[in-house]
Amino acid sequence: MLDVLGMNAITESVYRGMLAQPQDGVAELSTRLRLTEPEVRAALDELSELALIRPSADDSQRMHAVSPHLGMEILLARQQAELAAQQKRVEESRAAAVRLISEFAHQEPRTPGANVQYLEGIDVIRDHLTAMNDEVRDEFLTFAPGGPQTAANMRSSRPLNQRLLERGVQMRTIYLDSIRNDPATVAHAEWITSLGGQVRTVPSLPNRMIICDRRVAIVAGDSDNTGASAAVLRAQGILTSLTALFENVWRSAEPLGEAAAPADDGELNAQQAEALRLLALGYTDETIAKRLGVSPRTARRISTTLMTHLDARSRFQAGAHAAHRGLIRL
Amino acid sequence: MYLIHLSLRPPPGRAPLPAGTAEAIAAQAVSEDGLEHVAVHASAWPHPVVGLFLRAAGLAAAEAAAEALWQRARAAHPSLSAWELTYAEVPLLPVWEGRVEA
Repeated sequence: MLDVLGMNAITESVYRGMLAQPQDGVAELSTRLRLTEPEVRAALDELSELALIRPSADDSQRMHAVSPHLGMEILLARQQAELAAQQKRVEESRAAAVRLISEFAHQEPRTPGANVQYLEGIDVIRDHLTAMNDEVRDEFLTFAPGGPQTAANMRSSRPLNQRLLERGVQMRTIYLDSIRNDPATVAHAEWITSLGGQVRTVPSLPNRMIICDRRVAIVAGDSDNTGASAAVLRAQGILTSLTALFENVWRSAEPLGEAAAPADDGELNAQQAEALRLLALGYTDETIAKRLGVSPRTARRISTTLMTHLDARSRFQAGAHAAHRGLIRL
Repeated sequence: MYLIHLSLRPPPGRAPLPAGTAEAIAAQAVSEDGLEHVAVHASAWPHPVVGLFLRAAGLAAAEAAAEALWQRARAAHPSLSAWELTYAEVPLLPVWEGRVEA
């Protein structure tokens, strides 16, 4: 069994012999265990070697002396220490790989013609964003769809946002209207505003996107799963188009701190209007929910309210009435 | 038998532990030292380590004997004179909580 722990059979018997008779020397062990003296000495070499492993200073493990009265536990512990060290090495190399990839990714686009680059996985994306943040000089524009932001997202973006704003970078962020119902996201947005950033909301956003200095943009590869992959774009023509899109949406967005445009009697509010537009485009409730950053239940409630509003008993009739009233352009 | 580890800091320039260190130490041992065996770990980190197996009445006696033995060996062998003893002690191992009484 000890063999499994990295100790050979002879070493094990010498170790057991030492435990049984602490006063024995090499000659006594050799006689008692019926081993040659070189065998006993080789075993002692190995035992001494096994005792070399020392924990790092930041480990919170207890320390125990290797002396004859200590038993098997120490060997088990040693194997655990090796395992832990191995695990640490794996984690370190993973971290190093991510750093390397992001550094490489960071430099690659400087080579001529490499205007598009793909990032896979949320960690790589976050690393890339961190690196990008250090480069931003003037302007940082964000589409942040998905409704209420995850705690992890907000936490990881906080120090970045703060650094940017303290450097005097102009920061404009567009969230979905639905964040207004989530106190944590609102608090985050208000914190950004308190540092000089600007935050607005709209009923729906096409995708997650960040534009830096109108020079580089990161756009999610899949608008339904924006953490999975992203494209880094540096082609001037694409940047011009994306910035124009941002400015358009920004103009139509409502500043945070002001209530979302209240619906006058007989008029649809922005969220309802957007839901109606998406329904007319043939989207399902589920897709509409995603676009608006609300739960499917809320999306159904918005649809139901719309139907009431349009005095319709079916979706078909709702569509017909909406078209009749000029609420949707066909 | 007690196992005592001597950690030896090399002279500037990070020279390897001289070949024959084990023999040099063993040659200085007298019967009162209770030396039974010398193990050399030349590539231990951060410094080379020499393991001494000693018969002794207790831990403190074993550590004292090991250190005295090293100092005699160092005085007798010029190749060891620049090597500095950083500690002479029974080696310690990390033991996870809950394993000790296992």
